[in-house]
Amino acid sequence: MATDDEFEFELDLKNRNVAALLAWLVPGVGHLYQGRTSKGIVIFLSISLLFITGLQMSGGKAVYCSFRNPDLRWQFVGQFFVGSASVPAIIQNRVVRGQEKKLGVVIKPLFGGKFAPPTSTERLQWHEDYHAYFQMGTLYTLVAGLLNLFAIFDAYCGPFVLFRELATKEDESKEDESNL
Amino acid sequence: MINFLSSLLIIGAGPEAMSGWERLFFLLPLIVCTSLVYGATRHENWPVITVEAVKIGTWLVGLTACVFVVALLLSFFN
Repeated sequence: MATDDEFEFELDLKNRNVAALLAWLVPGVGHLYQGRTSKGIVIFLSISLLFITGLQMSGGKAVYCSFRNPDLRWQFVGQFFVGSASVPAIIQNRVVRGQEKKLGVVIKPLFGGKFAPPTSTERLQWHEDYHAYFQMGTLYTLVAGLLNLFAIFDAYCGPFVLFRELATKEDESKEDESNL
Repeated sequence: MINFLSSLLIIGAGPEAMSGWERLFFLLPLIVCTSLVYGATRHENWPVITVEAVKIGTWLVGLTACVFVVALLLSFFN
């Protein structure tokens, strides 16, 4: 039995590693696996809505993976935590940039270019077409990814307040043992 | 009411279809989703989660309003 403020509840995190992996793959599914259904549904709906809104704002172009100058896409580190939705971007990066390095030629991306890293001309065109909405879409998808990082933590360790409470209790019991 | 609903539906049509204040609707998912997920990852019980989400939501609206006022004041000097 654990306490969360004035309420008491039973919390079974089942296999934490599996829950965390599922939570990364599809936001909220880790919680569904643990039987925390309402929480899982809320997390799934919220993160998906935020991610889709971000994509919609930027015409589906805000999520791509590129770690090559001058297009150092650091925002993808946050977007990565949204899970399976970020995997196509990694594949596209491997296909386009990996082949470019090996062969030295420009390779056509898969899936009609969705989630593919743009050429410098394309990137300028996107900024011209979408103005601030490209940046806003990037921000929304980045926030969605970071929120899923919180959700992964929650699936692995339980709610943060409870985690902190248990950690404090553990420290106190260790101190008591050392005093004895 | 119909105006409000049609304004919500226009989000689906994209930013180009929206004008002026209608673009503020894009703030809704950001504030609602962020506060809900943040609250849900800190607590386990819905009454506590709801209170936390409302607190965070209010804080976010306040912060956004402050940034808006600063940007508005700066625009006068531009």
